[in-house]
Amino acid sequence: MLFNSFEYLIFLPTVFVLYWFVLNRNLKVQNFLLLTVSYVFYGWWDWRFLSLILFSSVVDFFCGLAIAKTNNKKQKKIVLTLSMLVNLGFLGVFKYFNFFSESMAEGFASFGYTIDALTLDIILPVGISFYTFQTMSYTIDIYREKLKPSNDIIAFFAFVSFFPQLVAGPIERATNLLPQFYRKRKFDYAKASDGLRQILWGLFKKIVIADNCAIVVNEVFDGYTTMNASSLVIGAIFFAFQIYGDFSGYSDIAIGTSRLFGFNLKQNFAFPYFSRDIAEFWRRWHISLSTWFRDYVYIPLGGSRGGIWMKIRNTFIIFVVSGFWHGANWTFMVWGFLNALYFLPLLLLDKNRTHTNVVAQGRLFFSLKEILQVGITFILTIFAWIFFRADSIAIAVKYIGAIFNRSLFTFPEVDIKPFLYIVVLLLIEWFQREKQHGLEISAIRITPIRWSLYTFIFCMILFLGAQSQSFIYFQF
Amino acid sequence: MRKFIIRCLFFLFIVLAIINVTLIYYGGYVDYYYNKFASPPAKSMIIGDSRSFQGIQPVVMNTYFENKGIELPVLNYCFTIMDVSYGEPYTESILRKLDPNTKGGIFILSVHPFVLSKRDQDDDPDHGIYFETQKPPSNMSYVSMSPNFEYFFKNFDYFHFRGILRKTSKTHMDGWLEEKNLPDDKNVLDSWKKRQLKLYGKYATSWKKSTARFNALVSLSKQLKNHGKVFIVRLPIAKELLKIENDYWTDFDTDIRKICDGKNIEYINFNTDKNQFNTYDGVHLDKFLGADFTKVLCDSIMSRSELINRKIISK
Repeated sequence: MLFNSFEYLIFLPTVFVLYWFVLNRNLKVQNFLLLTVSYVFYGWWDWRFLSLILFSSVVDFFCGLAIAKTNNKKQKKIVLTLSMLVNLGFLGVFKYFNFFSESMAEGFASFGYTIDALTLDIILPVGISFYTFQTMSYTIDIYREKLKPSNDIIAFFAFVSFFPQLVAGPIERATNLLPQFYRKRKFDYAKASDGLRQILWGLFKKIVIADNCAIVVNEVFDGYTTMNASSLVIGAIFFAFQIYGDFSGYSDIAIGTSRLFGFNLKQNFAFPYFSRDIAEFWRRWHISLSTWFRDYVYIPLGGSRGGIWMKIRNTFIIFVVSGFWHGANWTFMVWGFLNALYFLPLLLLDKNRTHTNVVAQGRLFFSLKEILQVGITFILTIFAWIFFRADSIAIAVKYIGAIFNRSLFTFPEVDIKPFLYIVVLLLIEWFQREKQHGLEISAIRITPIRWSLYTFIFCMILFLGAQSQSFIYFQF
Repeated sequence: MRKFIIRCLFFLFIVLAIINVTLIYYGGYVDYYYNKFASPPAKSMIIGDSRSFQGIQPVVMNTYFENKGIELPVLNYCFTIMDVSYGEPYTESILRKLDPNTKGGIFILSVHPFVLSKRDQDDDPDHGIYFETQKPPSNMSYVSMSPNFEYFFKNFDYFHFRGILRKTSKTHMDGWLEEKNLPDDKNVLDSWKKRQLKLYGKYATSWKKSTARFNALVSLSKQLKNHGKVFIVRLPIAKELLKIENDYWTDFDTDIRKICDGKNIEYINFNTDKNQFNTYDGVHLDKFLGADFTKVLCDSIMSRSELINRKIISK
């Protein structure tokens, strides 16, 4: 079920009414409702994939108990390894098997040996990368004794499959989300109404920004060989906003929906295109994944504590693996590699934590220096996004090559109207950059002004929204 | 919680009010079909797919047949080939839309081989399986209601609300689709024509003549005859497309004539050597030629009506 679908418009109020008015007396029953509706939500795509999530939940629930039960370090490690094998095994089979098989066949072919690539005729289950990472964090945290295992199977299963963030994140840590299933939730007017505002803002980003940009982006990337250079630049810029609107829009809807049910999820995007360097960008972009890799990959590898070579090695590992997490294609790895290249000088010069505050904090406008910093960071991200969007590295290289010619200074051949919507997005986000989301306007005390803004955003969604498209991150 | 619910309902009210005003005043801009289901029951109808949806203009017919003993106004109740073919579901919808008290209406049934065919997927009319069951107009229970929220909720995906700003096409309240912004560039139109020929060529290889759909046309014309005069019309198309259709269903015109013979139903085929109407994409008439064509169609109907009347009197 898509957030931007008619089904969800029926689904969400129905669940809300059942949750707060019918089954609000008993916490267990309420959790059971969340579990059931989450399975319905997920099964709406393909009910067969429910078996995967169910199996993954069963394995991690019992692995968690087993790890906590024993004091033997070796046994703990064996159980943890089993949990990792199951979770990564699912990812390996469903997401990466064909890629490795085909890459191996291509590798042999380059040495003159022809072998047939063994491929599986399977489709990628929606959201598998998200929920496997979420459950892995659960068992790892128990192994590290940061978390006690859950004895409540319903609460645990509901945590793994919690419908607002099940298919495209944010990837929640068990330490944050699971305890919320143990506590009785109380309806909080301020939280719920701000949740609705966040949902509205997420829909705006998805339907007005991402879906409109997607039309131009698809046209440009499909016909890049015949487009002039300025159109290629437009295509790359629009893709930057497409993926931002799509993914952060989804996160906003997920977080907003959770707040309607009394849950708090972590902020996943913090206005990343206002970043002054790539390190700040990565603290603001897909925060739940970046911090996951930081805590479960980068730090165990030694982080930035070792010598220069260790720092370099770990930086490249984390960025390339993060790229590979997005999909089984070399393009994602190059995207990760490029980001590592951008990040490395900051790390080596110890400037990776220079910008930890919000840009132009306490001021209305950027300074000239900040404009330059934000502009350069944005251009660097766009350059990397071309690899992320292209079907192959060769296409990305050709695309970039085709940008640098005289037609760069001609008028684009594609529709540039989405720029208008992007300006609206950037203006609103600029004024809200110190908040959790673009429509966090509870501080505006004059009700008609607030309601006029809601109506304006709704009208933009209705009259300027493009035909609904699936969320990009579902494929990851 | 109470405050929250009240405010949610208030916002819902605002949302519905905006949608309501849009549907009532701009329904023809934001959806191709909406106005067909928001208009009153019809006394005379044009039935068929996009060829007649764009090509036959009720306003021309209403002017032409005024004071000529025909129950008016005419409604264009045509859809596109993606959503309709002759068959039980379309027949039911037509009869639902028809004013049951009509006795002297006029009914134009636009036909060509592909609206009488079985499709390659989810379609087996001989066994009661129709591809169109879940699509408009077949999925509609209330076909004459304004504002029509049944259509809005069931066919939300068909809406393109940004059409209100573009205004490039409009379905009038009489059901006729006016394309306002067709390109002048011959290359663009040629590419559209190529695409249409390719599409119909594909249909010709994968679709099959359907007895059930053909019988549904026979049955529909019989039922409509109880409410007025019935004319089966084959609209003008490009020669290349006509060849595809004739190769696909060689005796199409003969088969249609058989339905008409002796039943006071007339078949008017505009794909003859005298065809003077050029389509803009091989399939559809633009609004200017559409007006001329509708006038010529009215002339043909008038002359044949007189013929029918003479036959009836002589009997």
